[in-house]
Amino acid sequence: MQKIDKNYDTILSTKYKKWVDNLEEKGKPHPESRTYYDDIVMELYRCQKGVCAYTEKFICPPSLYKSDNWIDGDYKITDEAEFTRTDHAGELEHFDHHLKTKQYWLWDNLLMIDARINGLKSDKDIVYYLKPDSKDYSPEKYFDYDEITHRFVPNSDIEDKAKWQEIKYMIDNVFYLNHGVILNDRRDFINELRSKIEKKSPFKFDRFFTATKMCLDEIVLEQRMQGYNL
Amino acid sequence: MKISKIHIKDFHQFKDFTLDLTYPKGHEKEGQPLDKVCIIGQSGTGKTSLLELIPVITHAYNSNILLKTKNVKSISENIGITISFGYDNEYSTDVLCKKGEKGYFTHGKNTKLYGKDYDWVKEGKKLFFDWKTNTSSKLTYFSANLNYDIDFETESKFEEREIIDFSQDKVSAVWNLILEKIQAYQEQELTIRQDISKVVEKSSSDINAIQAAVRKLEGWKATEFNPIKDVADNCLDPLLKKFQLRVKTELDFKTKDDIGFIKIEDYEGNEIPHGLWSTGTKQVILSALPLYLLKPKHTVILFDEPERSLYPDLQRTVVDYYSSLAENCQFFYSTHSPIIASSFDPWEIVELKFNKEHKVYRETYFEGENHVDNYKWNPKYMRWDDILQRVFDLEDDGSEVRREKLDELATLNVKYKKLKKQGQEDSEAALGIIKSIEKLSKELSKWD
Repeated sequence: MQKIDKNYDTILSTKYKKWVDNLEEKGKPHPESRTYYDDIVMELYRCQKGVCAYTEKFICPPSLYKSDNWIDGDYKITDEAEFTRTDHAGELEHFDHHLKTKQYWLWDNLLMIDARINGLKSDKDIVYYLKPDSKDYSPEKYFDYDEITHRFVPNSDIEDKAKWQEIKYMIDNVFYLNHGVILNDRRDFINELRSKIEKKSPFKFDRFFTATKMCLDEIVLEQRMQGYNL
Repeated sequence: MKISKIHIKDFHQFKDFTLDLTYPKGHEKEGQPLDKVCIIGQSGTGKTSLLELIPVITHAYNSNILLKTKNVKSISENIGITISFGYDNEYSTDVLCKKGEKGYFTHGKNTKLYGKDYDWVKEGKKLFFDWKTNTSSKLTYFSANLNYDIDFETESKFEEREIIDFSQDKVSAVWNLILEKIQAYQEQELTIRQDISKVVEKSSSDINAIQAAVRKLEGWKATEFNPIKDVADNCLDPLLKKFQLRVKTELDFKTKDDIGFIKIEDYEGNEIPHGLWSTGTKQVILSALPLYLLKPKHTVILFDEPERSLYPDLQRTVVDYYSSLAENCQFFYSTHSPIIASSFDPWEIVELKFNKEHKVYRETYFEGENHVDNYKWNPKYMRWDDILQRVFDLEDDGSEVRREKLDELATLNVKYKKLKKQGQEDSEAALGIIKSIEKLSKELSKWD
């Protein structure tokens, strides 16, 4: 689960920002209106590099969230584009689902996640220290990745057993990081990437960033030792 | 006859539901009806209903679903099927089931001959019924709960039926189709054997005469079609081999009643009484025999859960085997078995799922245009567990206990890696971890 930079000050959906800031300033509950739905969704994809905020599965093609698609603070995609605005596999996730009722469109509480994972996760509570866009979050602090079984496990250096169990629960029952198909896709992606690096073929690094980096450190080291500078 | 489209406007869990059952672009049979279709999906999505609706529409047949549906009008007004028929599938028409004064009947519209409009009432109707009556075999339905009781005495008059419906008839009734042939064969054999006896009686010392009579029997046996041997060699023995059994071909009887049902024996010649046949043996014999004896051609064959009681190694051959027994037929299978599904190309699989409104839709496996190159996976190339995970949506890779053990193993691997990084791979702690990893790996069969 990568660290996500969701800098509110630099978002391109400025009209949405103005609208929601106004609601917050006046302490008004957020309306059901979906006027800025695409603006939010695509802005989130831009921050998350097109992957699910939890599993890092590829769920949105870059052409949908490239900066050219924003004009004067509005998300606008031309009809001629290869993909249409609904050609992504994600759903809007409210990190803290308790905020949904009054602050449905609150930027800080929103993420894009794989629709299937959203269905499995439902409204389960998440511990705040695992909020991927929080200031203090870093994946290495809380997770280890075993490249043999291709599973995420709680960082084995965490001595607090209750905390270790809590993270394990989040991995298995909230984020579904080791869910069968997700795990298979991640394993296949890393193995293919590893093979391409070894063969010095061109490769695309566009998903499963955390796990790949945890494995790639080793690969890069090996390659450097063999005189191949990546 | 083959089905190229099913459209259901509104019927139970189906709403505005259309199934395109033709080959996709880029396929050598592009646009033609599929030769075989595999319907999968959660229980309750309507797999069996789809199978049972087909003969209702195409043959105005009183199938189970028609009997169970309270509002019959909902079928006649909401369900349409596009079929094609003719040796070259040159005729196509949309058919509906309607109710008239004399009961239900099949009504066609949009009838075409090689794509050009054709009048159903004036000509199409007669052509279709002539085709069904004179050229094609009867539509055949194998329900999930087949009656495998062995009863060859109740004669099922298949020729009088609108379709052959094994949810109504006992499967063993097909044996009657071959009984008379067996009797005729046996009577001829008896006659020749009697001739030998007469020769022996008349001139027991004339070796040449006796040898000539025996040669006559051998010659007759070599050239005469033996129906039991045919069933044994071409249908059942290759399947029974897996059970180390074979069909008993040497039968001793005097009348048709003595023949009874097919007899099987072990490789030492010991006959296995019908009552001692295993469920699997019975299933194999009674699934293969009907198609072999009916020799279907130009028709639709429906199989609901063909995997029942079949061991996995038989499941993987059964679809191709059934296809080999039929001529230019279209098969529909409804299944829960990933092994059965592995016999199909992705465009032949109809996966039914519920949407958020609890209505059924078809999950497609292609991205963009429906072209053979755009399918994201092909069950024929996949491992069984992959089919289970990706096609049947059993996304976990094992039981919860297995997952716990895998997490334990992953944690140990990570701990060892960290110790190795610190140059402590020979420490007592590291060696202890390696031992635990080896033990766990063995338990998890991590040989791959």
